Amino acid sequence: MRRALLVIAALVALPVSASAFVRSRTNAGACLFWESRTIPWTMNERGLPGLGYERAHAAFARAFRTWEEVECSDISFVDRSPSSETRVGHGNGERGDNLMVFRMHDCRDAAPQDAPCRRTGGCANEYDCWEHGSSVIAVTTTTFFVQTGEIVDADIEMNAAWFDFTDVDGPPCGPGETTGCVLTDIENTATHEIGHLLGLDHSPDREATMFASAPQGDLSKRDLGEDDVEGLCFIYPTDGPTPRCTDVDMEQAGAGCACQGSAGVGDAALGFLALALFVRCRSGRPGGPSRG
Amino acid sequence: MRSLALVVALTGLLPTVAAGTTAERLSPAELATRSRAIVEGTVVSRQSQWAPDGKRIYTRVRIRVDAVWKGAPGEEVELVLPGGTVGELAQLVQGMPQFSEAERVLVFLEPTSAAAYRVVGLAQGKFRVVEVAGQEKLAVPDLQGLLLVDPESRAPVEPIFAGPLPLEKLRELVFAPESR
Repeated sequence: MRRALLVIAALVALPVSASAFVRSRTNAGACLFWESRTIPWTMNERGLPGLGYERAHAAFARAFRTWEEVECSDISFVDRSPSSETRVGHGNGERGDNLMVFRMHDCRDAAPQDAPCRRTGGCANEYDCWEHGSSVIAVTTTTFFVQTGEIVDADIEMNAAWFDFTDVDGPPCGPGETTGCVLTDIENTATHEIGHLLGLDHSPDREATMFASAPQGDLSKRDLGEDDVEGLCFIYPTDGPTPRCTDVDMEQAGAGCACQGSAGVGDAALGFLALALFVRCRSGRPGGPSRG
Repeated sequence: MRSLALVVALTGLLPTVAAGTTAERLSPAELATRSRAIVEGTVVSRQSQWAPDGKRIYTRVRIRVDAVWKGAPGEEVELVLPGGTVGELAQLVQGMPQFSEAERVLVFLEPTSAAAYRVVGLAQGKFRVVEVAGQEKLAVPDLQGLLLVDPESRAPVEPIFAGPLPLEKLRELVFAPESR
């Protein structure tokens, strides 16, 4: 058994490509993508109390613009703000609104103890509250067709119940500081979450906006890294089709959509096929020079 | 050959580079402290359905309790998790623990109501339990979709467990003196 664990440890320690965007995938193997290259979004009219609607909205607008200005992609966004909507998710037959909303209260405080949603789920929408725990900063909930991966709605909730968001430039706030310095930057967080909205998952590239980190005071994710641009332009190339991901073309095209296993719905059973691709995927990337 | 097969199977379950939700890292002792119940069990069923507002999908997971590490959860527990698949539509909230039917698990639980639980620390609070005849049980973490950060500095940190570990070792860590 010890030998087996050592082998596993060695596999885990394999070097990861320094630059390799990752696409979110469904359990059916499809990569998530938008069919339309023009994507609407809207912000809840409340914005962020304390900062004001206009400033919170402006920070999000800058974040959307950052992705929109990438020249090798024709993705664009339409701002339909403000919205009175506070509910995230997407019902069958609806048109996706792609809502940005700051949650001001934790559901443990906002929903009565005997509320049915505490057992069945749904308190976040019913009571306009944060239900993902005190340690989570922001969550993107993506609704998609499971067989094709086509996204029909993606909403971003920001945890203002537990985190203080700011929109200013400046140094990270020190202990007790709350003005003229950066706590949790809206634009920084939004730019990262919009990457998820577009179908990108976290990248192992530490220079990428889609690298999975958000240290307090961080502003670096306001700007895209080379890896983010490559990811966007691979999925939404100007005047070109969106490459579809299947387990077969994952091997042939590289790792743009590789190695993730499941995008989160359903079984964790990646099984032996996933393993067969494991080592190769870790060194592969679309158009890259080698795949191990 | 059996060892190789085990390695292959477990490696397929290892966390990969992908993640989508940022959360504070919790030690086994912290997981235990925040838990009302800790159980080893077997997933009996998993059912996803729309919330009454027709916009959100939630998945209810029923787990038969095989062994209790903490609390008095009864013979069966029910978890409610955001996300899931209903018909042709799926909803993804990354960082949530994933369950499959008949899967053996160790879960750290906090109540959302008198009759339902959620997993503490999102995917950090769930381990798959793997047992091979003649071998000790292993606890396999699955942190897919979850980035862990230091609670103080918010700097990203490595998971405490990068791969499988003996279940008994995990139990020792959970009930280490500092956890009480």
